[in-house]
Amino acid sequence: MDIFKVFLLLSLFSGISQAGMHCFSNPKEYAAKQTLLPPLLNNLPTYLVTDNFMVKAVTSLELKSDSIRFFFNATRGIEEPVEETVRVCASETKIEIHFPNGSQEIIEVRKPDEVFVRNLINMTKVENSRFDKLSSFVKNSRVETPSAKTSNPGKAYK
Amino acid sequence: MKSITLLCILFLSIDVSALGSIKKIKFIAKEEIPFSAIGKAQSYQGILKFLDSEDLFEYYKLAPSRSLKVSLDYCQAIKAHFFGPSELIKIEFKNGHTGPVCLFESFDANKTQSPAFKLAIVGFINAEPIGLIQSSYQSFSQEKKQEILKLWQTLR
Repeated sequence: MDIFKVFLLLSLFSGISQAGMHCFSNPKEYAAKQTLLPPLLNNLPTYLVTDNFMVKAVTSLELKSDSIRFFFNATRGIEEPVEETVRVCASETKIEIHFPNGSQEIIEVRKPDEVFVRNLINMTKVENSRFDKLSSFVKNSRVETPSAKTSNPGKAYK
Repeated sequence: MKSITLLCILFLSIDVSALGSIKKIKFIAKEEIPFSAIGKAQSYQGILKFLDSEDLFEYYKLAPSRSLKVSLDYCQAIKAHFFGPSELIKIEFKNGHTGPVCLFESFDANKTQSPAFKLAIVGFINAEPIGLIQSSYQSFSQEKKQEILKLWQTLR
């Protein structure tokens, strides 16, 4: 195969990949793209959890009045929860979370209800009640950091 | 390729550990707390803990600058690098032990489950631009900012 054909194939695949991505950063854009999004995102809010003996983690993507809100927390491997307004781009195989400072988190979609985060943990879609329960557990199980103690004395950490 | 990655990691860890303090500090590299890098700027290196004062900071090794002194333009660029094109944040300049430093605070009223206030301090240590960010559930008082400046002045 000559080099021209390789470039042609590469650009074709790249075109398909770009064409498959749908982005939104507010409820209006989300409504316009909703039916084109993968099952995990086509009915926000979405709640995902990991619950095993090594780590428990929770993440959510929610619609606010004029923005999309991302949340992540875990019992290990993190000093404080991540909570940011984000732009989301998604295809059948990946979800890109774009943060205001320009950084992005690329999450691999493995199954219609499962993602792979940071090449470390599988997270599965759950109902709000399950998310709330585990989220509360994660919050209370986190090892208390000195800054949390000094900067938030009124907050109860166990 | 793996050996290049390993070399990069070794270089990074040597470089990061070169930052010292006359106070007891502990550095936890982002590789040890992998989820902590979510949403953070590329220059994020890990967590710096001052063991005596119990203060904890996100540690950022910033891109080299032509000047070895912080300026308003430089601090505004770093503000965007840390927090994005956020609302107006007042930038304060203070005198550090290695030249001027800038401090700026961000606030996100929508945060309900994480600290809404973040205070960044940016300056040069060993001729390298670095930034520290501390998070809090309440606004940073002038006294607290002064304490943070004192901790900065212990860095070598």
